[in-house]
Amino acid sequence: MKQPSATILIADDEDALRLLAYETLVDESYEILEASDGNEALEVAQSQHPVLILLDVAMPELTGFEVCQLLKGDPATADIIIIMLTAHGQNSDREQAQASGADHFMTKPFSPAQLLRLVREVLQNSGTTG
Amino acid sequence: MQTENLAIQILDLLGSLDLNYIATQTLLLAHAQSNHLVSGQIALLQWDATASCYIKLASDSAFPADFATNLKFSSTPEPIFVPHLTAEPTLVAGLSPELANQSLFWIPLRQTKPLLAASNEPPALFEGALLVICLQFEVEGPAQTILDNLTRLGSYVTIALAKAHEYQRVANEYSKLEAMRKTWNQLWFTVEDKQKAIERLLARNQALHDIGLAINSSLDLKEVLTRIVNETVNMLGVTRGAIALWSEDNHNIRILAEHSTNNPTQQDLTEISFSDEEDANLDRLDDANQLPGLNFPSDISHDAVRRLQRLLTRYWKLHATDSGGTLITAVRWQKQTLGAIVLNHPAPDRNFSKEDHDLLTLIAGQAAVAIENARLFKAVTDERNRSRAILNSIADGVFTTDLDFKITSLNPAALQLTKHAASALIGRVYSEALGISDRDGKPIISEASPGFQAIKFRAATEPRIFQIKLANGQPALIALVAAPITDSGDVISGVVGVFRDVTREQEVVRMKDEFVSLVSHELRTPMASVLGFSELILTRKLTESKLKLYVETIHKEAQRLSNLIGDFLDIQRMEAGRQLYNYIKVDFDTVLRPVLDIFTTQRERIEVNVPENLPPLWADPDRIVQTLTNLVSNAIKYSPNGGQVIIEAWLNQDNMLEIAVKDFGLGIPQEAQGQLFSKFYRVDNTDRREIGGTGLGLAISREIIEAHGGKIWLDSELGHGSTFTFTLPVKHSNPHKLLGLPQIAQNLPRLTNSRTVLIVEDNASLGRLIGTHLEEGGFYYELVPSAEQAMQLLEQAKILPATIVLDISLAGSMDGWDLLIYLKTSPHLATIPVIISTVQDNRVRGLNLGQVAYLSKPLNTRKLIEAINRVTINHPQRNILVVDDDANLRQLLKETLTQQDFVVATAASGEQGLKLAAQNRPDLVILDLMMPRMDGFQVLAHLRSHRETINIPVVIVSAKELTPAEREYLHNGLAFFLTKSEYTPQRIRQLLEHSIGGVE
Repeated sequence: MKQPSATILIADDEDALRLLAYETLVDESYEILEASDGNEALEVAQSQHPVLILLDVAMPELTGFEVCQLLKGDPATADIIIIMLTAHGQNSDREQAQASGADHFMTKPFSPAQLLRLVREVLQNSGTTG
Repeated sequence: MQTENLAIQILDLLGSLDLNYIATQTLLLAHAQSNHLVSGQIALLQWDATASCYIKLASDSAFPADFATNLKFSSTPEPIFVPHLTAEPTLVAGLSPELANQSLFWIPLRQTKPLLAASNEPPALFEGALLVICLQFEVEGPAQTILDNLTRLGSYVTIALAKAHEYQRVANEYSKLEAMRKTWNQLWFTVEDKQKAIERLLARNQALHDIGLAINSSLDLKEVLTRIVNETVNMLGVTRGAIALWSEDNHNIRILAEHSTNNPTQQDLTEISFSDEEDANLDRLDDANQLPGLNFPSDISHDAVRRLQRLLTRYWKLHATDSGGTLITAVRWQKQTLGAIVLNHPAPDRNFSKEDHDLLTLIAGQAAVAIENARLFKAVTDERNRSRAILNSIADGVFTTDLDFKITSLNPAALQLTKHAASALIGRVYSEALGISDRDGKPIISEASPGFQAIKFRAATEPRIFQIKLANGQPALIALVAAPITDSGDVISGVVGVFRDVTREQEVVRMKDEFVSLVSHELRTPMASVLGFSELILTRKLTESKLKLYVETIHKEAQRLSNLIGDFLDIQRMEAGRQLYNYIKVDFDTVLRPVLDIFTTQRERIEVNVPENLPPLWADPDRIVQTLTNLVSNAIKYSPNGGQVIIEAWLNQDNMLEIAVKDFGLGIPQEAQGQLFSKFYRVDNTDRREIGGTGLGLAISREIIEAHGGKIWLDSELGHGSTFTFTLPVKHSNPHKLLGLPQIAQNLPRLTNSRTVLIVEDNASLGRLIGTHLEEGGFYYELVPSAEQAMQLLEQAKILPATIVLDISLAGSMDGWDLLIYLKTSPHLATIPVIISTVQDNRVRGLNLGQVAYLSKPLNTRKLIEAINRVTINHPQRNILVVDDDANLRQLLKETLTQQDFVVATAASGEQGLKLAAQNRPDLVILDLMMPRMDGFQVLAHLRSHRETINIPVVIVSAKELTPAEREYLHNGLAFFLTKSEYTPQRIRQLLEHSIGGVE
């Protein structure tokens, strides 16, 4: 097993989708954290400072938009790369994601290969080796 | 044009109530008439026994001070022209030398009769008062015609001034009176005094009102024209004059104004229409129809003049041979002849001069302007009334504002929509008065407001949605359009706003959008797992255990998708009324167990509080499990901190099973409770991500419970949890409970299910026996012992029974036939199939007694005989009545049936058939459907609603193709018969199949 090169947080209230994201990324040498609601996502992000968050929009407690806004608004966490995942698929969601400061946006259902490609690309661009 | 302008200006003066304005304008008009006029003054001259005063109303600045007051002829009633002031030193004392070479025209402004005929008091203006125009000219002065014109001007101005003066006088008195009334009130005058004061006040108000009318009447054509005629007749010193107008088609002539000096009280002015016949005879007018001394004018058609003559000779009682002269001049407006002015004078020496003719032409011009003005005024008034009617009746709110956006008027719909009173809105800036903000309630900047935009771009704005605040403080959404109001000169004078309430539409749009978004989310989420994991399976090498995990996840998520789609389809089907319910007798425990199994992981949170020995339900168990699952799932979701959920059930007072699901969680706000069972309704957005779900669960639950004949409701307090309760009908297993005596009717069973069969049977054990057979057939039954109770039950029933099994001999005073007649003659009950259960006795005519068979023409004799045999089996006599209007067919049937040993009577009409049926009580009626007057349907209805004939079997024979409705009528209009010896489950089921179209 390689040394973990990057820490990634998967935040989704849907067990199955958390599992899917996990399984998609698990073969890479990432350290993977999980959160099942908005509050937990915020706490984990603040305490563990992952490089990247796969952030679901529709979550209990805090929505993905709210979590994103809070993290991007705090200098301590503003550098965390955020990929928003939404199942609503409406134009307003993309706008709202942008407004809340998300770096990338992906619509569910997504292809695991595509997600993996995006994650690798994003991490490479940020200087973190994939 | 000069004359027309003068006339317009005079009309303007007649409409004014301002003395000084009228006076100033009059001076301007006088200047316009003569270039020689140096200066003038108009004054009110008043005097009594002791003193006189001279009140200036208007004066040219060049007019010498105190000049007029020194004039010696103050009270002279006639106009005086002094050509050389120096020549009259006695008249003019203390005259400045520079005025000596000038002339003076003094016009007293007199009114010969009181202005207000309706008023009891003559206008004070003419009691010792005189209005004068005093005009100062260059020496030599103007021509006589100018002086005449000025005199005429004076006569019009008199009217205007008198009106304005009277208005001011009364208005002053009114305000004085008003002040007095207040003082009186303060002094605590007695009630009687107050009463009198109010009465006087009211009388004054009436006078004010009358004056208002008189002023408006300056646009009343008749009054203006009457004044013109009066003035003309007086001015030209003739005996009589009239103004007549043609109708639009030139066929009618109407005298609108008339004045005769020698006969002031004339009969009513008349309108005369001329027939074509009369028209044809116009050329042959005799002397009696011709005005004396008339020269035909060149600008009016001869026909019109002849018609006018015919009218006026009758009216004035004149004759061609009378002495004197007549002058007719056309009243023309823009080359169109509107009518004519006619003057007549009987004196032989009065010949109308060229000057008379010119003057009359001038006057006719004024009359034309007056007519045109009145027409315009009427057009404007009509248009205004039409607009007002439209505004008052449309559903859209309309308001107008001035340039400061202050509301000047509103239509009734605007008040209704905003719930405000007009007084709360008029005079206020519309955006503030209506509380306008953007659709989300945020304030809008004034440059973005529709009113501002409308003025800026001089065009109507696009409809936009705004939020307003209603009078009750509630917000509402309106679609608002604003447009500028421009006057005839294209100058913007304000804004008109049109709006409608779109709160409901917007709510629907919002709910639809949210629903689409939600459905999208709900479908995409499991779809993401299914697609994602299947992609992993297809693209990666997986261990056995991973593969199993992925496939299990796919299965679970696909299951979830399937459930969701099922929910959508359920609600869609239920709403369309196409949901089929599979009702069975089921214990509550049977539906509870699968629900508890679903929540195994939460099992310790769920407390079940259900007594044993509850009666079984009558329900579709799958649907009740669905409902209960839904409620328990909601209760768990709404208790995020692991709170207790209690399921309770009990039998309530209405003999219904009541089931409650109680939680101690978040609770539901009061304002959301009413809509909770609506489709797609969510308490708010934050709940959506919390609860997941489709937003259909409660809507589906309500559909299910109501279809079962139950109710579902909610009790909730925010922060303290919610209780959802629903009722379901139970299965009565002990019929004896239902066999109440007739007098305890309040204990009547209720029909709670559409698969209920009503058994009307006085023998309780036999009734129960039938009931048991029915239950085995999947039916539910109620048992009553008398016709009276059956009727009462049916009248109160919300759900009608599927079938009625009816005994002929019953408890109570009515028997089965009575009830059958009642059923078949009550429109809402007539379609319930009835199975008559009778004891085998001599009266029974056969299995299908009372039944209707249907055979189509052309008749197949073998089939007919079979049908007859079927219905008249075991009957010795076999009397048959044939009712058909076709003589050949009657004959054919009679011969055929007689050969078969039947006794046949025939009737050629429905009426005759009914008579014979009642008399002979035949064993069978063969009935044609298509007969004149009373057709076969009517005959059948009659047979079935009369005791003597209700049970006679009928065979319908007809060439008519039956419509589905007619087929149903014939099908339901009959009763099935069953002998009591034949009660077997199979037989009952067979009959039920017949009667309600099959047992599921």
